[in-house]
Amino acid sequence: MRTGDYKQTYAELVALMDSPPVWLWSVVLVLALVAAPYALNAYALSFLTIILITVTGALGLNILTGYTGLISLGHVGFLVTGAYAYAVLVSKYHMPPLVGFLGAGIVPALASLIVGAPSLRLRGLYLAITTLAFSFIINTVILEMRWLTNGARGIAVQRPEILGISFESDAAFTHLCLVVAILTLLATLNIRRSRVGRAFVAIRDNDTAARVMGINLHAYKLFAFVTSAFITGIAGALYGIYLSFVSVEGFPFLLSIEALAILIVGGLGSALGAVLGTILIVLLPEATRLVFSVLSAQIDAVFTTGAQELKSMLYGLVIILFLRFQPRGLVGAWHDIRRAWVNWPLRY
Amino acid sequence: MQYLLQLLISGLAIGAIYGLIAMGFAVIYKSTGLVNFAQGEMTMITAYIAWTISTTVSGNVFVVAFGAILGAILLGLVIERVVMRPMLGEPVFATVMVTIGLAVILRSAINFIWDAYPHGLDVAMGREIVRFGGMGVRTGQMAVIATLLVLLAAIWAFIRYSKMGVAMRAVAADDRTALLMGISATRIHALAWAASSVIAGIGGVFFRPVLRSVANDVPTRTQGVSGNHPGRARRRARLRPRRPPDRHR
Repeated sequence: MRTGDYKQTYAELVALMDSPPVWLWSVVLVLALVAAPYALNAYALSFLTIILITVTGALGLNILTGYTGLISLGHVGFLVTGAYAYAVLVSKYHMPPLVGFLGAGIVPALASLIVGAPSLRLRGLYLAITTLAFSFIINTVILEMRWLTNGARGIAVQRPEILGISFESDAAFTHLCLVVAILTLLATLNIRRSRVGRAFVAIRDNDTAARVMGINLHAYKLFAFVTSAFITGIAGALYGIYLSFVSVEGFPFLLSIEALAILIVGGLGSALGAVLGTILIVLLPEATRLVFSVLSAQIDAVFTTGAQELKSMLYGLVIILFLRFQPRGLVGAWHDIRRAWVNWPLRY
Repeated sequence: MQYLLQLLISGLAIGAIYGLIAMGFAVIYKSTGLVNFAQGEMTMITAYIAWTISTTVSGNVFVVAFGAILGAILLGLVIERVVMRPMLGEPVFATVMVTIGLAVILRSAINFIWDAYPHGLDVAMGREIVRFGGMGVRTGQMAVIATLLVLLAAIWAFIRYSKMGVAMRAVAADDRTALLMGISATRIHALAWAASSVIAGIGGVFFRPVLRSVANDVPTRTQGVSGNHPGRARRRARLRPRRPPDRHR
């Protein structure tokens, strides 16, 4: 464990991996994740896949809400747009899946320009309500454009075959999600340590000061929207493929709440936080079920009948409890633990 | 022409309900500077309480109204004490996210305590039709419009002239200065939450006798208060002319 901060240059401060052990552990983690699909059973594998897809989406929202401080309550709108863009391109017009993924990024990015433009004048809660309205508008638009989207009937989606590699099996599909998640993580981390990322954070902390320092607020806010929507759209396409069926009902409003819960639980404005938050939130309903099923079979029955209600109740509780007792999220808790470990037995 | 007038009156009655819910938003915003995303769910719970009283205790309209108002006050106070008061002084984003979490919890709680199906609220009053030259208006519809107008005037006068109302505005404008002036912010917040819960709850209870208009016999439901109506009410709440807190500084 490192015991201090010995960085001497700015380059060291913004380095992606600041020490060999970090490299080593990252490589070990990636290798473990590559091997995991062969070791896990189908049930556990489905959780891994969901976590990887959710990480991608959460990282997308993190750019907008975590870094730039623009609260979005309608991110499920970008998710569903991405899923439909992929489904329409690949299932309906038989384009190659890579084109589908590109479309799944670009279409929500274009949609985000429409939502983002008013955001330049709206702040805080007003923006949140605008994005909320957007996600409802998108649902209606999709349901009404029957010639393109089949309306309420939805579109069936096959597992893709990219560059001759088939992602038909569960293990292969998990690998695809893993690749996308890692690419997204790298992209997010690199955005954060570049000029763009610093501009985002400056806007979040104090937009007037940022503007005075020569940051073009309009351009950077729109850029945050477009990047965030692009990533979220690709996560949506993956989720659509995972469900093997894209419909408006597959993307309930609860997903927006879930995404915000992930960011709050993990710690706003941190890529590590988004990952930790995703793991906790995705596994939370299952873990709660396991704990209670040990206690009594009756409670277990409640979990099966009211699964959806219980899930949303847990999300709400987790949001409130974290905001109340650990506003910096899991990342904050991790920093506290690390400091206590290094400084023990001293306080600091 | 007559049909238009008929529709206009039904529309006004429904608008009055949304207006009541929006007033619930406005009361909390006025005194705490917060947008309460759980308003729709609180309205829904009050409506469910009214329905439970009407089916188990008595269908008498006064009993139902009294019970519902009492329930709404309790709900508002409990939420303020347990959930919102610990968040006092936290950033607005965190506090508003707490109300979103609260909304999600309340909605699921309703599904556990009651169920997810619509119920008709059956009070004996409000169904008589008064005729104005060929046009039929339900007494319930007139009652909701009258309630809205009375409450609107009362709340306006309260916030404008009473000592408590001025204190509310002071807390919203700058809670620290208000504290220095000897105003108890917690008491003001508790009052605002209770009042908002009651006002919105009245809107929720009125949902039933009003939506069943003369022109079409759509079965209404207490559940209808949820759905996307809060969204609309929210937008209405924003459209209401309201003094921004900054102006007091």
